[in-house]
Amino acid sequence: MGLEFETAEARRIWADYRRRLAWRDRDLPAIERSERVLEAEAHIAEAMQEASDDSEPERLRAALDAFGSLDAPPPAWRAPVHFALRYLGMSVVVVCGLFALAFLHMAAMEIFNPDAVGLYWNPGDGYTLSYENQPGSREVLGAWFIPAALAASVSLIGIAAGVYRLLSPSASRAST
Amino acid sequence: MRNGCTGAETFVSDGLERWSAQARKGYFELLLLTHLARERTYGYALVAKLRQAPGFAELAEGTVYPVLARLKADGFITAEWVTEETGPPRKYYVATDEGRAVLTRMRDIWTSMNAALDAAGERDGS
Repeated sequence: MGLEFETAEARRIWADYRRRLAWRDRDLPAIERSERVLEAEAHIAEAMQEASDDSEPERLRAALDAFGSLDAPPPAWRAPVHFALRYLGMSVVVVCGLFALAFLHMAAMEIFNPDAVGLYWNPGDGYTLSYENQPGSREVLGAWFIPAALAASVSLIGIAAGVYRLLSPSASRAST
Repeated sequence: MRNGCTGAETFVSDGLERWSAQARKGYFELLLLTHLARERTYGYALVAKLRQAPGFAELAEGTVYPVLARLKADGFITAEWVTEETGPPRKYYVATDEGRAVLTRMRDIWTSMNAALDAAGERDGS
């Protein structure tokens, strides 16, 4: 689903309205935000089909006027907490995603190089993840490193997906 | 003074507008549930019907969906996305048995309020 437009002007108008919808519904759970967007898209599509104007942007404007005007989100400097939390959330998604990929890669490499890849314990340095043997350190998980790395990867992907759903109104398709 | 009205006229007009908005809120849910008890329909068609009701000609169409979401959360209606062969997908709404039961009670309350108003008017001779 999703509205598709032929003209750049209509795409710009709809992108602006989507931004306003997201701002209006910012306090709703992600699944409800997503549903509101889908409902708006379906409604606007119907309204545009009914409209007689030849110009796509004008048909869209008329449909949006009837749907109701929405406040624009304030500029970033007026909503520092909202935007700070958003950037923090995106950072969590990126970092979790990168660590998940690293754990997946290490789990795969453990199969090809079981003597070197793994989790090492050193009384002076603590725990270290490494692709190479660590002199003076002891490998602690052995073959259990693979399921442990996979479990860590899945957990991190779960966290990243959860945070992403919280951040993005269109990240999940709501079930009704 | 505003729009050529005196202060008193403006006060009355503002007060009436405020009261009218409050009255429409309750009436709106009743009207919406009445339509959905009668037939299963989708958002755009539902809005078209609502706009024919007195006082709703200028209804902002987007305001219907939060009310529908609330009625759905209360269990008074259900909703289902349907993909059509042509045209955009539509979300169809219909009243549940619980919604129909609530509608009956809502109409009873509305009727009794009307009767009370009529009775008060007759007593006062208005």
